[in-house]
Amino acid sequence: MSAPAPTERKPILILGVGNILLKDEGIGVHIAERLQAVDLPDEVEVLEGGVLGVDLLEHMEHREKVIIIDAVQGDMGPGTIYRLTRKEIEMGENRCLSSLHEIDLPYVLNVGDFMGHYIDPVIIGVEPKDLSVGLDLSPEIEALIPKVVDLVMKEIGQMN
Amino acid sequence: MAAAKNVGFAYGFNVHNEDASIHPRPDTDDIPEAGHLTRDVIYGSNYVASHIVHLYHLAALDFIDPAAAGLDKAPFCPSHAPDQSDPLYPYYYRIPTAMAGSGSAGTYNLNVYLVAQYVIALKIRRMCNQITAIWGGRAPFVQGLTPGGAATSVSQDAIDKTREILYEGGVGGTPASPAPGTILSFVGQPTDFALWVADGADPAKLPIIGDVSPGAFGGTMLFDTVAVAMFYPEYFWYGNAYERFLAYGVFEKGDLSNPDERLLRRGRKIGGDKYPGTPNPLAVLQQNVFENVANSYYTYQGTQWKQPLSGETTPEPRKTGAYSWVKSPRYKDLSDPDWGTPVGKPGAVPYEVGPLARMQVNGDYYAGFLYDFYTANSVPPVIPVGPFAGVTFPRYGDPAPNLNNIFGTGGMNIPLSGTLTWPDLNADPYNLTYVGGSALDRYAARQLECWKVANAMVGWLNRLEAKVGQATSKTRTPPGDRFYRKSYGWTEAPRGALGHWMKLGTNGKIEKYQCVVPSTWNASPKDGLGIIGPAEKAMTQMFVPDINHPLEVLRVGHSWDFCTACAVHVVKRKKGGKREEKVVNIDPTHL
Repeated sequence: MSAPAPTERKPILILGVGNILLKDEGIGVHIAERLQAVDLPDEVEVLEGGVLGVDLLEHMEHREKVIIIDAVQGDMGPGTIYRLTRKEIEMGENRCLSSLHEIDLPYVLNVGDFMGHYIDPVIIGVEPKDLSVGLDLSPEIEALIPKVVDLVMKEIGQMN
Repeated sequence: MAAAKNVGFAYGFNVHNEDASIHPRPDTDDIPEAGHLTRDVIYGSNYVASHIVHLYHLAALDFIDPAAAGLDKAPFCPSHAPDQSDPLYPYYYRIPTAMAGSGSAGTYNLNVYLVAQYVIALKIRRMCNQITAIWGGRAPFVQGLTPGGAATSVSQDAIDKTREILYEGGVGGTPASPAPGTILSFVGQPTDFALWVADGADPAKLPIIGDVSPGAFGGTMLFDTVAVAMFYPEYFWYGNAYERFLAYGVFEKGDLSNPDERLLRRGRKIGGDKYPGTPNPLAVLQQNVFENVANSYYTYQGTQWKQPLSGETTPEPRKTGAYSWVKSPRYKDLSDPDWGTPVGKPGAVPYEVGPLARMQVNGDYYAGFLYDFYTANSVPPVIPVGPFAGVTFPRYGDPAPNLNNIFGTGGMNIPLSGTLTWPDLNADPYNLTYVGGSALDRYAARQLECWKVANAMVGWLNRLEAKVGQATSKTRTPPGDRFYRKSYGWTEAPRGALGHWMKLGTNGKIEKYQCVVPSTWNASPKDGLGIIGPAEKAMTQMFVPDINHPLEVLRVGHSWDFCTACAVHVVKRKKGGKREEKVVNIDPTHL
């Protein structure tokens, strides 16, 4: 998967990330799928990021706005919906990877900084209820999809 | 973001586990040659990506001096890093910050060079993923593997695009002289460092920090691997497991009816020394693979040593005495002198899997390989730089160095806290001799395998090209309606031997499905005989001068390239502080 050349990139990227094999962990991807069925303005690109890690970096570069949808642990209870910027998330400043399998969104943003691409995404997150193995969202989380979609639409200026 | 469980997870789980499970019986499959070759290109590009990512993006930062490279933030400056004022700093970080050279700069900072290589490696691994996607449909979650072969058809277009990325680079590069910026150019040659040394070890002749462009000297993965190893040679003695290596084999070649005819053959090897004659590994038999859960959070009914076909996975998070979610796979070989230790008890032996195991089994790597390789290339097999300069590359059985002569009163005179003194690693309680199974052997074998596989891809592409437009371009044989009540599939993930075992019930449904994966072999806990796993064993016999900065443990641990912590990655909201102002909780819809 290669990103288009910087000049051909749409200014707004909506990126749904997460692991769809672990129920609510995949909320971001489920939302991205939903948005792909919506008639969006020309300047918006929707991408399912899955678990691609640093491969997502080139897709986030050279955009005016990046909106990431992901599972968020905010300790305010399952089903809480968050809108966060990178100042408001744990960026793992002192972390040391014990395995390459620990690469996560903050790591990718940190590498982006180092590469000269400071990315300051808006993160729309949902606190998961169930992270066990399964392709489906919990019913309670699934029910939140319209709300999250509305929030993303607001974020791209499509709704008031 | 369940993100980035990275390449390793993606490939290990999606390419190789699929493959293991879709071979109905690995010894009698009838995949056409083009199918084998297509799979090999998919795996090969995956191996190269995985090994490059491991070296640069996981391991290198354990060795690079973060402060000297101007890196003051994550992920380059983790919490375990000692402060620059720490007296031990020159012991922890040895890559020169001001190496004298002939060029205009006078002195050169090799750490800056290596960090630049980290960035270039990000791009190269992405190019590897592009090849995976050309042949596997997409990357990293390949969908191009099917029972009976591969889903992709062989086309000249795919071959041309792959060669472009691999070595042509838009300027007609060749395998022998790959274009700058291509995969083969970045991987380089095992002689790269030796040539630089023979030329005078002049940092001014390194790209990025010196006066030359990539390709003259350095700028390659193999240069970097050897260069870093030269500054940390005591790790040739740290990190040994059991000198037991196991591989299922991967990359078909030649006679496809013979499953052992592979680029990296199947087998076991006991002992890290060179094969006395031609490589002659011991057999691997599926019925000799056993698992035990004595110290794992699982319970077994009945016998406590189970073959995968009768395996069980019943979690018990509160099991008394357990300390790991990993089971203990062991291989039973009655002729192995260590079998059943402690003596008299039934049991089996821990085996190491992964690139070092594959290369050892294949005869491509052994204790003293670097010594022989340098000698064969007419370069003195002697460390040319750093605190160990002048020390000869070790061969099997060579004694470990006396650290006091390097870092203690006999050398750099770095003070240790309290009553600690720099030990002689060749004396009690260490008594270390070189056996070819160390942390550095693991790093070296992984990158040499990367080189071997990257270059083998050239031949695979040539063989595929000869089939374009021919009847032999068929990549798949429909598997037909054969069913086996019990079956297993074996392959090699980048991290090592991967096996799946499956049993069908009488109704044709899958009754049992057990996976024994590479990191389970390597990271397994103590078994029911009290024998610790290979990686646990590798953590013993090390001198750790400051427990607050256990970089030694980290370096040995990373040498295994574990596949762990794959599960859940959520973004964590910052705690405390002015939460109301900083966090806009716009829709607190609690359930």
